[in-house]
Amino acid sequence: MTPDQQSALEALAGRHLIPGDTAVLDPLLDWDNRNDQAIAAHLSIGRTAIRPMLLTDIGLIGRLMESRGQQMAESILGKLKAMAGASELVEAARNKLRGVSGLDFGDASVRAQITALGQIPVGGFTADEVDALLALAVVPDPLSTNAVSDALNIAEGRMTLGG
Amino acid sequence: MAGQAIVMLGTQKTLASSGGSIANNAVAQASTASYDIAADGAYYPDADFVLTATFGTAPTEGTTLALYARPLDVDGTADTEAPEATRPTVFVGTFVVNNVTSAQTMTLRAYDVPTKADYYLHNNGTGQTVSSGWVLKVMPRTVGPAA
Repeated sequence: MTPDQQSALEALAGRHLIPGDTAVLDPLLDWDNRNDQAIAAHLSIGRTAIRPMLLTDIGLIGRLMESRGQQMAESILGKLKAMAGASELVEAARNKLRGVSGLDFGDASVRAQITALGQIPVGGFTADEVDALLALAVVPDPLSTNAVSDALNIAEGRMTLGG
Repeated sequence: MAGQAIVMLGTQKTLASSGGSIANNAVAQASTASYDIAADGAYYPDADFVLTATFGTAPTEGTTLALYARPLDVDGTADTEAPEATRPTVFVGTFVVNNVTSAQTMTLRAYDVPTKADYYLHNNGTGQTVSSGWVLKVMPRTVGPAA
């Protein structure tokens, strides 16, 4: 891997490449058989992003039961109900959950509120519950093959119609 | 029957005898020769392009390699600009690829090609690299009256 290739891939991936990456990527960067799909797949391992995730109470129950089971779903909804009496913010969030559009679990302020409710010593969410709620809006964020191609073509000095 | 319409073919010419590798989204010139419909094509306006190419790793089925022309001698000896990012010049057509690693031969029929041009191959999102050694040929073609 040339320094230009490494810089291009690091900029695209948003992280430094480690020796383990180099060992995987070097054979894929062969000039005559560059495998951009495999390069993109490797760099996409573990990449996630937070996306808008509107859920109503029914949707939330479904997602939680699917990912964490009925007990956690019951626990979270019960705590929300209990905390709503003491907090206008929780009440507002609960109303959004019961509304038509639902509550956006990818919204930064909602996520901050969920985290804050995990700090309440008595009656707040457990760490697992906070994780479960925050995970609702976390989705895979793979790099596209074309993005890898465009970055590498420029780094390698190839004539390109991409980028 | 004299005068009936028939297909008329000229002499095939090699535009790239051993092209360099083309990574996904990259472009390479068929640098062996240009194609001049006057000098090479008997003034036939159309052309059949034949591309033989190999991928080291199978490309995505049904994606394409696009052919572009860079018209030459458009004002005396002045040429148009070479293709580059965001300005690929004259689009000629596409070769549709198969998801195999064996050599594949693809055809493209083009109508009313530029009078004289260099040709470029664009790896248009196959996801894989076209190995060096690809070959591009062109055969002049028209429809005319039988003798």
